[in-house]
Amino acid sequence: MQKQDDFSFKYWTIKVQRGSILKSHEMENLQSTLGFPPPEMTFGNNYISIEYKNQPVVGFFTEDALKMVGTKPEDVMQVSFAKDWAKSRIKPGEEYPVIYPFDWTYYTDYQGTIQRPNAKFIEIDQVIPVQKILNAGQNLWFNEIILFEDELADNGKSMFDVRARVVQGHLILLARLVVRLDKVNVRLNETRIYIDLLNDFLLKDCRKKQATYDKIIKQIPVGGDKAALLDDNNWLSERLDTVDHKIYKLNF
Amino acid sequence: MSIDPANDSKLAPEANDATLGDVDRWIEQLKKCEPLSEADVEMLCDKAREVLCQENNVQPVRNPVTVCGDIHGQFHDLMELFKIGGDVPDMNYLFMGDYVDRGYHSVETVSLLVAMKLRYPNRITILRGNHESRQITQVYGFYDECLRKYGSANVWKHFTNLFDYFPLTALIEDRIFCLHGGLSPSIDSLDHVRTLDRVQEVPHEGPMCDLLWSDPDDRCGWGISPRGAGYTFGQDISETFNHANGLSLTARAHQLVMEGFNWAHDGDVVTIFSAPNYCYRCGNQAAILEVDDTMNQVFLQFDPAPREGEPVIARRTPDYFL
Repeated sequence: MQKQDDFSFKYWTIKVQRGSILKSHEMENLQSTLGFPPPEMTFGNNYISIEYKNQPVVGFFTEDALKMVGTKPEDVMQVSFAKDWAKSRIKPGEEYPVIYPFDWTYYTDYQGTIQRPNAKFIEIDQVIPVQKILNAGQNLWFNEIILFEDELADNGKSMFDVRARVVQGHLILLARLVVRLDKVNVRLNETRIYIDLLNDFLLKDCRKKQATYDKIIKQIPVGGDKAALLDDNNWLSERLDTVDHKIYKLNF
Repeated sequence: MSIDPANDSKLAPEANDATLGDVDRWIEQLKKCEPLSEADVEMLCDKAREVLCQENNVQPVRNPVTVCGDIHGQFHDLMELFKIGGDVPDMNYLFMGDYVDRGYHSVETVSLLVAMKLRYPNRITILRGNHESRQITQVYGFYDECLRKYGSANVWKHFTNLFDYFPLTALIEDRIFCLHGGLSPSIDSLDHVRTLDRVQEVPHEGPMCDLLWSDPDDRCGWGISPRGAGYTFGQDISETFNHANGLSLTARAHQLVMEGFNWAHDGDVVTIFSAPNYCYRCGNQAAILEVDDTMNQVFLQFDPAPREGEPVIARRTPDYFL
């Protein structure tokens, strides 16, 4: 069962579809497309799309995000205890193949899908007017979806979610991937889309953040709830180092 | 019924500390989703250990029995499961692990299942899942829930000490092999499982770890997960194992599936997952497998129970992110 929701102001419309994780046969089809097993919680029919004059401009789609997951040998992360495991298990003469060598942490550089053939992002210096959004008062509309989530076989968490809200005159969207590989590292990809609803262009702010797991652990206050903080994407986001930050304008 | 109900009272706790009446009272209290006192939990775990340590690594189970997968602290959905499948002790149950973590009521869920085990040891079998471990529960919720509900880690210690005694696998009428994860390249017979020393924390590697962690896969043979730890096993492996051990089926849990159950390996393996709308956001169905006294198998699927006090999705809305 899919639920739809949308909000329109002047020429702009934002549409959301939200449902359950994929059925088993849909998972099998997606696995054939991708060439590796999709995350255990793949909300494959969820999406958010932004339209201008009834034509889609940019959107966030599960399959597009997963298509950018790495499949090269250098993309394959390992759990903290992989070396010990291999040493203890793999005996001489025992040669089991690694199945589907791919980045099973589902790290992806996905920053949304452009839905207009001639649209292009151009890097600019203009920033998202945060203060204007703050001053614009309460949300007129809010929605959030998860594209996918995986527990990494209890070695952390990988989660891609998208939130969007409209305040008087402005739309802001935050698409965020969090990959926490316990005892290894934490990586985030944040894509913000900003629209002044009276204008005919949009801004995209992309940040990559990361830190070693040890560095994050050291920032947990004494007596702090470790499990809750490590599960809190906002808390993590504020504590990682920004390693890349670019802002684009989309002309279409 | 192949088990004489009259035996139940004989096998229940020898009423030193906890009497039958105490255990009945605990079960009633827990069914209302009210946690036991710390002292009661200690007594419960002490007495349950005496029962569980008698059980085999391959615990024999008679039919009819209903086989269930992961529960993960979703207490109200466990109550729904008993509504769908029938109450204990009218029906026999076999749970394949992962009672704790993720959901909001790990304490009440595991307390109730252990109390039922103590009260009706021949009616209910509770296997160990990979979450019945000290290490995993410290990351995924059970430890924190114990601290929150009891103000100390004592209850967590009582339960995690008890988890070491949970049987690893079960065998229904010598035909259906049940376990949490899957097969191990170090194990080719049930007799080998019987020889494992199970009373320990779930190790990071080795045959006991594999039984609680491995997954079936479409690719033939043994495979190593790209994670760098953990095995996958193909249809040829399941077929050989089932055949060599005179089995008709290997039933396991451990993986989320939208329909609550999923056949693999041409009917040699089935995955059962019994936590509907997992993590309060997946929208999946749950399933349980009824095996009747002629070994007929029927899957019952169910949706989440309507409940108070739990969010529809696990996150608050709306928020004011920037």
